[in-house]
Amino acid sequence: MASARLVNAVASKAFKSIQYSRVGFLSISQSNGLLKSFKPHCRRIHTTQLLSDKLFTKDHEWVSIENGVATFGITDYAQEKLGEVVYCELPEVGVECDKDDVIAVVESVKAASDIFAPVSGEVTKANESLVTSPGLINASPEDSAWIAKIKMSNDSDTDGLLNESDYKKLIVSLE
Amino acid sequence: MLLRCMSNYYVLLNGIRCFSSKQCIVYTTSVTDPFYNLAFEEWMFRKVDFTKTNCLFIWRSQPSVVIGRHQNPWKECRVNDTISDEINLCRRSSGGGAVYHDLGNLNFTFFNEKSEYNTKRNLKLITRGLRETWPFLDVDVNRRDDIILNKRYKISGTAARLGRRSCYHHCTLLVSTNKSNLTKYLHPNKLNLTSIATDSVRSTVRNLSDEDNTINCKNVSNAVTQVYVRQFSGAKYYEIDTKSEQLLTGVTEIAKELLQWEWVYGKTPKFTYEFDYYHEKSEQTFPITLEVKEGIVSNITVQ
Repeated sequence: MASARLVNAVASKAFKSIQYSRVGFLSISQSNGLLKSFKPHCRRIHTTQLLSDKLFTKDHEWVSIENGVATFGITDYAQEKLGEVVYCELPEVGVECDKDDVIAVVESVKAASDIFAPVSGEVTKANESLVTSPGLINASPEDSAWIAKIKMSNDSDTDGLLNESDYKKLIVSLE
Repeated sequence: MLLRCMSNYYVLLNGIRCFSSKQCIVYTTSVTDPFYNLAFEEWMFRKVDFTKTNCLFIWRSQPSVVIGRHQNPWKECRVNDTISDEINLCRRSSGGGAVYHDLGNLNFTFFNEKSEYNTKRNLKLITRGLRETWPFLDVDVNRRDDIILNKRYKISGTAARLGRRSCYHHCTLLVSTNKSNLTKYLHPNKLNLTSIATDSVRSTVRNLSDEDNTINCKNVSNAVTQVYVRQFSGAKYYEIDTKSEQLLTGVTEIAKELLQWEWVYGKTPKFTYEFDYYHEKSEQTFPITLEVKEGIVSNITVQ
């Protein structure tokens, strides 16, 4: 009897944890807003799920790929190293670029730093809001301060990019 | 914690080993055309690997106004005066504000691999050089990376450019510059220009030769070079002709790009210019707004 209760208790715990992870998983594809009302242990599941979302270059750029279009910007680590960004020089829409070409330049604390194309292709959009508010790069580097979108011409360009956990390891090794 | 200490210790050791094993090259030049000297910087930045060798380039210019990469020349200086007086107007590829060069001003360019980028270290090296030769000089580096004389006068302005593996930091040093020219050409325009371009920060300046009239570009250059080469295991000195296409393949092309209207003026971030136009016949004043994109008027509004 006692052992049966124990089995049930363990089973219900296991069931609960499955439920949480399923909820966490489902809510990502449905709505991010929902997550705010969740308890902390559910959010933890949410972050793990997001880990694989972005790719990173060794030059501290992030890339997010959807339907063959790569959106990229600089990482939080990069913006912190740069300091206050005062100007952002964007690529022109329609320009063809090769992976590793200088595609943008950001100026901070008297230094002009090159930003490199993480993939090859055609620039389809540039984030014009960075022209008037370059400080967005410091405030929201990996979200609203995306720099440009590139329609990829070579799918294998993502091969050399790092996933989030490898990128985090790279940062730790640099500190 | 222990691990952290050990890793710091390792970094420290690594830093020393790395530094002492490196060679350095000091370049000087008799070329005083700023377009070619800026082109040489760009050439070095693009082509040279600085993992084993660090370089210092010491140079001077004929009278020139040099603005930062993202600045508006019409806002920073008297463009018409520079043209009529045949003063060079250059846009450099580094950031920062507008400066004035002439033969009384020394420029130092420090080339490093990117991981060694450190403007403070370079500037302190210059102040150390100055103090070792002229111990009475009160020179220091401030938060904005300016070298300050007597706690209040700016004698040096800094700017930098960072690429994937290489970087350079260059700075000016006022030794015996014509201050009235500096004030004249760098005089900001009072025109009503609205722009997103990087603005210069105005400062009161002074020459090192005002402190001691034996100080000149040559002995300052020597003083800084002495301190610079001390950091390395070996030093080489070259007097380089920055116009030599034979030595520096492609440098002429870079200089041409720097000279082009599209770079000097056309690269200006878009801006608007508001002014009143007085029409004599009708005796009326019309407020006018010009919108300027890539240096060219793209729209005119008359109210």
